[in-house]
Amino acid sequence: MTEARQEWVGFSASRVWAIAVNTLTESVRQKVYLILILFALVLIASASFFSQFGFGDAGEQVALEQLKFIKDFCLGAISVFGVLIAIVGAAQLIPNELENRSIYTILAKPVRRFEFLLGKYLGSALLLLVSVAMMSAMFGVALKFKGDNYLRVAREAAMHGEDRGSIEEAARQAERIRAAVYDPDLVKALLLAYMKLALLAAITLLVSTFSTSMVFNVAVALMIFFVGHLVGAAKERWGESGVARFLLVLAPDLSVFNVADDVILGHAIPWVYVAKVALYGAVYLVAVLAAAHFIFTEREM
Amino acid sequence: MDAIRTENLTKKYNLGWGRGRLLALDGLNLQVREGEVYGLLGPNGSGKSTTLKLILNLVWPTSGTAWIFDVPCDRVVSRLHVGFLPENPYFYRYLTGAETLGFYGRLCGMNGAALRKRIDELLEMVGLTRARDRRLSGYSKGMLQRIGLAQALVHDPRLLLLDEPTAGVDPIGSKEIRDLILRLKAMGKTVLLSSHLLGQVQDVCDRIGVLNLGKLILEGEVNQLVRDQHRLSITVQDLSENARAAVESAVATAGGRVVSVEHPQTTLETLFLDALRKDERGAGDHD
Amino acid sequence: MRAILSALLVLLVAAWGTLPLQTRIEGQRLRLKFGGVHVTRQMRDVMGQGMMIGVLAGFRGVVADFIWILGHGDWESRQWFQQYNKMQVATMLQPESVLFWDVGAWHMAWNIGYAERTDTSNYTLAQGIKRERVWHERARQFLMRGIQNNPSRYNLYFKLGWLYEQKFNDPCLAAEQYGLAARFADAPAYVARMHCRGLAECGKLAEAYQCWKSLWFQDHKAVHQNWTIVEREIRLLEKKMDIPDSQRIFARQPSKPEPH
Repeated sequence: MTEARQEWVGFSASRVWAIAVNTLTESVRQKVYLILILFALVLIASASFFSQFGFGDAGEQVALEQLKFIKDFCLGAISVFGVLIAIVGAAQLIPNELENRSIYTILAKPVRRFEFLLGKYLGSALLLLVSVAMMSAMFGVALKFKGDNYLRVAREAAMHGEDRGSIEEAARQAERIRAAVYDPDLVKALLLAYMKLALLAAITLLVSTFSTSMVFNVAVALMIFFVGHLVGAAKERWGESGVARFLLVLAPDLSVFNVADDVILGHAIPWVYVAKVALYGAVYLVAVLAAAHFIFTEREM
Repeated sequence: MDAIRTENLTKKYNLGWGRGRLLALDGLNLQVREGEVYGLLGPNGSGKSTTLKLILNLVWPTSGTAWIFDVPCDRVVSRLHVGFLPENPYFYRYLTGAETLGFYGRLCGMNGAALRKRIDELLEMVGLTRARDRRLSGYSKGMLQRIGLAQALVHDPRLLLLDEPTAGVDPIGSKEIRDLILRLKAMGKTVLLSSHLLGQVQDVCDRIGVLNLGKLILEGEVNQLVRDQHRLSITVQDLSENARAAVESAVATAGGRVVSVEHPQTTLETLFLDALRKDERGAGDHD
Repeated sequence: MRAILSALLVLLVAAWGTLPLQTRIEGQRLRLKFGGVHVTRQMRDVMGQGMMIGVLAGFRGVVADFIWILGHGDWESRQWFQQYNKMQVATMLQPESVLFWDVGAWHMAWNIGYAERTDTSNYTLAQGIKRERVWHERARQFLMRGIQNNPSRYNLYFKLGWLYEQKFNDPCLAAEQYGLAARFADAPAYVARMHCRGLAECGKLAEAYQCWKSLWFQDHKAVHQNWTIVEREIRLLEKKMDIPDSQRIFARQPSKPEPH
């Protein structure tokens, strides 16, 4: 037993990891989570069964219209469920530990408060990663299923055209459909969406360090979520007023993470943009966790 | 060396604006010697839990200091040799018993085969081997207390702090926990437990301290304290009525006074446990 | 107290510290034309609170799609104005969705217009025709706004040309739009052909001839085009305009075109 004691003096990453995995395991086994994620997956899968809403006047137009609907819907669903999982999941992290009394047993061991906080957050971030990955995979399947259908029809048309001109035109249509389905920028959109959710979870955790009411935590986190989206627009309207700028500056601009709409409309997202937004998110993440650390360390249990 | 030492340990809680402060602990001077079982008694709100939390640095003293094995309690390293069982623990409902201990073991830096072995040992020690793969949500109160003890022991600490270890536990479970505490004492560990169930404490503790409204009002060895110095109790068997009268008059002649003559009583607990033991089904199946 | 101050301080530092980064991100978003949206009164009339929240939360695409689909419902129950309003709002939410402008204009000019004209239960034929024309004009305005928002996509110029040709019976304006559409790489081959033909129908035979010739002199291997039709049109024009033999591309052989 004595060998185990040597790593207890300083900060221990393995302790943080143990707490993170524990948090993930607990979360994943909760019925509420299982129902939520199952519902999300079924909803996303159902997108591939939408009946024709399109009234476009050409085959390609119908296909593109349908693909737009599917992508908007699925990415929207991933966002909505992601926000739910991020906020509700993170809001319970500390209150649950208090209710279970397990937090006392952990802090009674030589575990630093920051290790505990970081471990809990990491567990929440892992939960989000698993959830978003599953939903994205289902989205990919639904999109591919529907998209391959359209692609097949378009390619057949391309093979049976009357003359070379219309064959080549049909081929180009098929190519446009293919590009709409197998769009690599969708991955970037999902990546940025995940980063936003991870930041949201951290903010929720910060709120929960000074309040143990789940309802309060969720409500405040949702408020910050909406404010974060309005920051961009608000800056435009009131940009030069000193007071407004000062206040607005505190809230992170969450709208920079939303590139889904733009990707679906066909814009390409440069990696430089992704990197900049990632850096922005990372700085805020560190600040939020640091703030949570300051408050949590001073809390009496 | 003292396992625990406190000097003038005081804790005042702020009750919010305009409502003043609550004096939870008032200048506690406590010494728990290594190897003894110390019982901290008192009514609800007397400061027992506060004392334990101050020692574990879960709350901070308004004034005064506390040491564990001569290491000040505000240092993380002071908790290297301490195990804590909080009051009314639920732990992680969706983990099994073995997984719970695995988590705490990893928290203490253990892993691999050594950890697995330790988990088996602990489950055996607290009698939960058969429930090792059941989720904690399916554990009874007594089982939760026992898994709690197991997690407190996972890193083989020298000192154990137990907050109300038998509260809400049925008589059988309660007896088992007490037996466990005595076993730990035999292993050389120090135990500080807090309780308001006085009868149960009497059997395990070497010394007790009584808290009331934050102050230590009574302290001492259990045997000394409960002994009535002025009276003598002689238990006899096979005495006829005439012989009894003779004994009573002999006492009166010698200058003593017969206070009471009655059949000695066993405790209700002993009666209960014996009855269960005799009923084989009840005795074997209590978890 | 100290904890709360430290927490606020670190958040402020992060917020102020990232201002330059944020400005750079904003700049890139503007250059890439990623968008915010200004909520107007018309939007608020069409969208309920739920949708407003959706837009605020960044789900513009889903809300726009939903409104668009609702518009189809209006189409089926012949609520033209409701559909029109919804199409307007959808394009306001996502002005860069060519689809909405394109199909919307088609609804207005071809479907709704026709429905109004043939609605004999409510109007006389004369009234119906007048109402139809109003819808044509609406479609035209709609497409022009669409083009303003999407100046680099061929679809809307093409649709506008089609509108001029079919509904306004103005082949000259149509030809102009086809020409604008044909500039873009993803425009189908027939767009350029329609440009040339439109010029001819407009009466500008000389320009039409130039148009067809410049099509013909592209690299037949690199560009894909229906060369048969191009050749036929050139021959027709050469005959019609009575081009002297020395300047003709194709020799005067009405029945047997030269193998190429």
